[in-house]
Amino acid sequence: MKFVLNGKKRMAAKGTTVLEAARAAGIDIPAVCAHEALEPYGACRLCVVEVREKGKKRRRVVASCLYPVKEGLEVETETAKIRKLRKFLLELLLARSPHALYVKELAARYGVTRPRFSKLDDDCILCGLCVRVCSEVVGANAIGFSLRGISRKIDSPFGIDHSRCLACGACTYVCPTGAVQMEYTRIMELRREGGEHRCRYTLMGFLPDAVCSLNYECFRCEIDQRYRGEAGTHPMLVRARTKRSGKARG
Amino acid sequence: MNKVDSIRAMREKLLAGRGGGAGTARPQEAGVVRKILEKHGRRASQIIAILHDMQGVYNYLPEPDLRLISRELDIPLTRLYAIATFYKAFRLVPRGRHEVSLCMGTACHVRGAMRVKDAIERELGIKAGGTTDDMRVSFETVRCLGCCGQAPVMVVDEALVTKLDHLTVGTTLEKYR
Repeated sequence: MKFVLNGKKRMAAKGTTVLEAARAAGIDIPAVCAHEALEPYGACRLCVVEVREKGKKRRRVVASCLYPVKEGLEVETETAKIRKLRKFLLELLLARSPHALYVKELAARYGVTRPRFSKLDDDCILCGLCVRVCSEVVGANAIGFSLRGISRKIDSPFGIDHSRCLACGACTYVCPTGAVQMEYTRIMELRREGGEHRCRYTLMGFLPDAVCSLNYECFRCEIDQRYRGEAGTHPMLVRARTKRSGKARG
Repeated sequence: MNKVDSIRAMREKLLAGRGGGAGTARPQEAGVVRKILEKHGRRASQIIAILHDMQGVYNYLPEPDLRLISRELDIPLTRLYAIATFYKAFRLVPRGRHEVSLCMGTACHVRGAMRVKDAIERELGIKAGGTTDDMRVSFETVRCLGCCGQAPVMVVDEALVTKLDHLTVGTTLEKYR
């Protein structure tokens, strides 16, 4: 499919989103809630771009992570309008999480250092990566959103039920700001429960029936080193990536 | 007897055994959950309606029943918890058998709703948003009830009580205690 990206003619396969196509072309679009192992979500809105469909006059602002490339589409990723919109969003994010390094750096790239809104001190920016990893990739559904509006937060059911958590740590791994500590909460719980400590990689389905002898101090464990080393990312995400690319081929 | 009636009858039956009043059914009683699920064809897409019916029976959403629904319909508990906390209409904690909602809208406010509120709080011995210790009455304040000409007004279990005043509101509430 032919389309125009920042004035240059490009090609992309049908079904590709504008964000994917732009990244493939080496154009950087900021996106907090997008992840290659997950379905597009469209929560952060930082990936907005201006598009003009073939034969239309008006340019529209769309979220590029959800918008599919179309024949003859014209895309602009860094117009003054787009920069202004992103700047505003980053101001809001920075006001919510003024101490999160990730947010600070992203905001600084758009020249936002001091938001004009009153500050909160919550590292969670509600991008939903952890929740989606837990349901889409891990399949455990141990954490989810609760409440709404300004009180919305990431929580386990009834605030205390971690029984579905595998302590796999995929949520902690994908969290851009380090706000999600579910993995450690669960490990502490597993330690307290006593009895036979089953290896986290057994719970994740990588190893048949391994028992942990290190009291879940995985940084001392060679199994953990091996899986993390081989993957170069979180092992659960590797599995997801192969699954997803398999789906795209089929 | 249609399905709604059968649910209602079931509720009445449950309540009759415990001396009347709403919200006295105990969690996981008499296959209540299963019956509600059947009514909605055991479809996960009907979850909001299912939770509404559940709350109709129990007056709140008990945790064991949410777990049961989660298992039966294969909906993650996190999802149910998200829904139950997102919508104001759902409650996870039990409320009193009678619900008193006092209007604090502009017209009611002008005509002394604040004084009525104080009177009710004194009468029931609880603050707005609370429930009496004997689980008989819950009291909350709401925004406009849409009948400002009758101000100040309150709703007690679905019945409207109009033209309140702080001197007599206590007597009105007495029969619910």
